[in-house]
Amino acid sequence: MTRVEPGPWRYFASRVVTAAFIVVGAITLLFVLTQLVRGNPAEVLLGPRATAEAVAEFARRMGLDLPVHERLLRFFGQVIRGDFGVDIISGRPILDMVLEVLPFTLALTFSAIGLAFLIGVPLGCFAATHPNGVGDRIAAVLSVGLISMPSFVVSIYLLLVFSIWLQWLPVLGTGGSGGILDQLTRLVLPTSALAIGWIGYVARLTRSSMVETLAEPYIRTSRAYGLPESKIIYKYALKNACLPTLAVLGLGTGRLFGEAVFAEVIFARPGLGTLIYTGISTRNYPVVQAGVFAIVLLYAMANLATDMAYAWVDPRIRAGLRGTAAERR
Amino acid sequence: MSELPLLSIRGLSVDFATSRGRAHVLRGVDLDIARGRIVGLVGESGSGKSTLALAILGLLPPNAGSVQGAIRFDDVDLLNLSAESLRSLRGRRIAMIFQDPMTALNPVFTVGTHLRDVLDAKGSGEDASVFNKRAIEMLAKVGIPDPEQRLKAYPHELSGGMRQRVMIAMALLTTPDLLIADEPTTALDVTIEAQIVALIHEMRAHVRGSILFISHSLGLVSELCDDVVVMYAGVVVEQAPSADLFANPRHPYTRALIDCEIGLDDDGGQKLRSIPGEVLDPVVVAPGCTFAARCSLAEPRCHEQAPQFRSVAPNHGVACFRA
Repeated sequence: MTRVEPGPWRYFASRVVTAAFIVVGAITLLFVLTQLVRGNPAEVLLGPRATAEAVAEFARRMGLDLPVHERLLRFFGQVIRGDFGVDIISGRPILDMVLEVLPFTLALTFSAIGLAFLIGVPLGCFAATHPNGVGDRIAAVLSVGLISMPSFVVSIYLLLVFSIWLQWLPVLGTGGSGGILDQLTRLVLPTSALAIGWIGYVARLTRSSMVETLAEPYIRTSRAYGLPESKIIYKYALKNACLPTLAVLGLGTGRLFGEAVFAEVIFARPGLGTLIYTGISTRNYPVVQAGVFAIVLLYAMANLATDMAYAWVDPRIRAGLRGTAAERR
Repeated sequence: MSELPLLSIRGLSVDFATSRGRAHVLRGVDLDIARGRIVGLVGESGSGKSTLALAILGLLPPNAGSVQGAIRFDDVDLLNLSAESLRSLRGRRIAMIFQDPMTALNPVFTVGTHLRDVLDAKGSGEDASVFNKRAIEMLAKVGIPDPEQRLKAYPHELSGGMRQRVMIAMALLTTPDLLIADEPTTALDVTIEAQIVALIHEMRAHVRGSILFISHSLGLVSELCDDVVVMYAGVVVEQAPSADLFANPRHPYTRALIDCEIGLDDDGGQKLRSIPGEVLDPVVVAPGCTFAARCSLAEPRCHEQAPQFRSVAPNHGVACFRA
């Protein structure tokens, strides 16, 4: 009667191994890419009048004189020791630089994805339960419009309307020295700019899987037993319908770490994006590598968390009877 | 049977909007279910049995266009009931067991959640611990071993037969006046089918109301039911007490159906019989008898006007000119 389950631990282990592969693969690609980009970092940093000896010495101190595979090995060694070396420009440990800006990026990304789900899921549910009604049509037009707007365009419009014309919200910065309230108000615009496209996406996705779920025989069973319609929709249907939406949660969070670069640069916020952006413009590869490593790690962790959430919602995944979140995307 | 029937259906017609036009799935069904009886509803696939069941519960799919006629349950007119009053009848006075236990249970909720929410919807005002106790008792009653553990099981962890037992437990927890079982064994193995039929037989004692047992198998119905209703292409062609129907089938379609059943006491080597022709296309509007095209006894008027359902013996009705 009861099938033998491979067990949640085996599932967890397989997801962790996958995450590790993602990190190693992404870092390897990154190193190959820095090798392909033109411009010697030492020359860029020291300027056109630097002597050849000075350039060579600088490159050695940045560790750029070694062949790419040795640099890669050295980098993973650094990752294991948790020490990314010292930034040649500021003289500060690179790990400190990353950890200092990390909370800003995390706050921005998680509030954006949180906002997208908080608005997108109820919007999708409403549209699905009123199919082809006025609300559904408005939601559809709105969603597609929101999806097609790039976040950097949205950012500039938001700044223009709310900060410059209406002067409701501060223009730039994080309010780092101010209180928590100041920091939160300064988070509003960049969060909205990042979230807007995802609200539309999450709403469309929730609507389509909700419509599909509501036609399932088990929903008819719930109706046949006189369960309240609200319980049928928000308990019995939503738990099934949220699976595809949950699958994009990991992907979305990962993508948002990347999209945050735009928002951070436009809104002049510190963060991983700003760190990497300045690193690239000065060819400061050790800092870029550490920053990108942090993003890749966050991406892998977001995916892992999604897989776990997925298995928590759907018992058939725990039992190994169905595909993982990654396979559904 | 002089008292008012529990369920009384008159002239029930249901059309579905399809790409080929309006499909007349039910074409004026008359049906009575007396109190405390098991009524078997028999017919081929596509004869409208499941549509009839869903119409009683008010759960027809959205593409069911026009619903005409009357369904009276006790003294309530089900077709003119508000959505909220209809909901309060479902799971309290009418319960249904569905055909495919593989898809009828929600895959992401445990057996316990299903059973507890049925009790909760019934609004008995008890708390969760009482719900659990009653759910465990009911699982034991429908023959599920180790019921405390099964409460925590998800549907995929149970076999088809066990899932159908869970479905039956859900239905019995509501102590309905009318229990509709829509081909509850069709999706199961033959050995499991026998067990489930035995269980339903046993359950008779626990259901104080009536049972509408839908099946395509006359054999199964004869085993289980007090009365038999035969449907063909969206109309009821014959209704009679079981013994009477099998001894004295009046409608040519009923006779043909009985002939098609493989008798277990027959000698081997007998050819499988079938009814020549095809079931009337639901999109076609037929002025005459729906069975006329396949009927060996058909005469000209059978193609021109529909025979009225009439009584030929006490409690025995038939819709045929030639019966």
